[in-house]
Amino acid sequence: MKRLLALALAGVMVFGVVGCGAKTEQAAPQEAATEEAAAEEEAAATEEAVVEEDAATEEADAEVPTGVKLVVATTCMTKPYSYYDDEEKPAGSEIDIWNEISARTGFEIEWYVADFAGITGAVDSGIADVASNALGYTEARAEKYQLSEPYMYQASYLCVYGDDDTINSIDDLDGKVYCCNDDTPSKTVVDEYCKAHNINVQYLYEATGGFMMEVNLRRADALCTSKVNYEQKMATGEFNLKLVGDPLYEEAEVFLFSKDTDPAIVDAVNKAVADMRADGTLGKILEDNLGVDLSSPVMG
Amino acid sequence: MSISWTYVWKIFQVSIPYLGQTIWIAICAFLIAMLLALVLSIVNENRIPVLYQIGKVYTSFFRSTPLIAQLFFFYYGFAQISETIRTMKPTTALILIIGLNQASFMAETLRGAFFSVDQKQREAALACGLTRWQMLYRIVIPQAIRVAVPALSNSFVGIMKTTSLGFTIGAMEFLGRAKMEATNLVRFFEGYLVILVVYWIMIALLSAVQKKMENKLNNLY
Repeated sequence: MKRLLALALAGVMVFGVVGCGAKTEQAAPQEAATEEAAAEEEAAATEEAVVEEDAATEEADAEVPTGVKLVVATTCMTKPYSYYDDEEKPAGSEIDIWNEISARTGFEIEWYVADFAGITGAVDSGIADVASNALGYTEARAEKYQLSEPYMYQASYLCVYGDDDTINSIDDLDGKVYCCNDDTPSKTVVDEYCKAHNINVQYLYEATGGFMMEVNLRRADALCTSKVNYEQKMATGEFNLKLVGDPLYEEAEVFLFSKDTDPAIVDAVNKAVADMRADGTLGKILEDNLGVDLSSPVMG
Repeated sequence: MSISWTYVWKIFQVSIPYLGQTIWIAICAFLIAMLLALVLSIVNENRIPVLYQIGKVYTSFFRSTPLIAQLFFFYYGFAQISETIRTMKPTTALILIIGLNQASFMAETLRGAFFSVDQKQREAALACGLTRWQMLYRIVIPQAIRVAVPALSNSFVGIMKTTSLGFTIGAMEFLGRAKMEATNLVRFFEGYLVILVVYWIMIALLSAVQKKMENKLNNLY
């Protein structure tokens, strides 16, 4: 009786432990399609067809992996880039871009919604294939992930409290509190400049209410933000902020693909985005959602 | 300080449909925690070899480490080596981890409750010819439950509040949805007001149920 009880209890204790099951390979059709695509590309390097706007044609099938399902991670906490619409479905510029990519490549898209820590965690662990949330290019991200080609460019301005006349440029940040997320261009650009010019700036890395709220409440002095973000916040009427000086840098927004993702998939996405830019679709999506066409760089 | 009741209502409207999900997650996690806590306390009471040592390590780990770290470690960490966890729904993972986490606390509650039952009760039961299992089931547990109810209710309240971590791993529930709406509308005061009021009402109702249960159990003796 005791032995039976012990066995039953052992079974229950193992309940929460890691399940067995080897890591599965990527879908076999994907691998076959990759080999096929590589061979065809070598033979027909000069014959790259323009991808049609409709669902993938036979021509496109030959170059683009088929039977692909991508889990795309986003936060839906960054209106107008990604948010929940009235039907409780993901919406915004990120979603519209991916819907268009899906139409051009034939990839099936499934959305994974979690907060900022969750979307990169999901890509790291393989739960999601790609993170998409107007994420900027950084060298640290390039080392850790497969980055797509930039699909959007946002000039970033120093943003300070409306009545604050002490900060007019990055040189005035000495002794001030600057908000940024670590490992973003917002941090690296300012950090490099401040170190090179001996400017003593304090960093604030976490703010649940958002950095603009911290500056609005005078708990921090400055942050970097795009005009789109700035205008969206100012439209609520609750903020007293202003943008000062010329743009500090231009952030190139990229998709963060896992290192394990088939490079042919990343190439196919890059191609779709390039085609969307060339025929004006990308510009239109960005203008409809953000109010401005940010598909091409404006600085330098 | 101005408060926009329009936005309070909007945030309330979009997030309240997810309250059922929060309650569901809490109930499932509580049941898992309860089952595991019972197993742990029986293992502790009888000092079953090997399981007793595993139980001690398990209790120490889950009581001492932060829940958010456990959540990330399990859902994103183990997912790199386990297909099962990689394909697991975020809600399932949340229920599991909260259950495992709370079981370690509830096991201590049950240990105290078992301990409160007089040893003479056990001896009398055995002397009357009951088996150890019958003694536990018919004599010890009914008396121990009376002592355990207040602390277990506290655990349930704690579980209800920890479901709020769900959104960090993609498990959408009431607080996550309200927080998302508050962020997108940039109305944090209104958003967190809705969250506080709804939780307060929910837990107050729960406390009323707890009081009724305690009164009923006390009337039996």
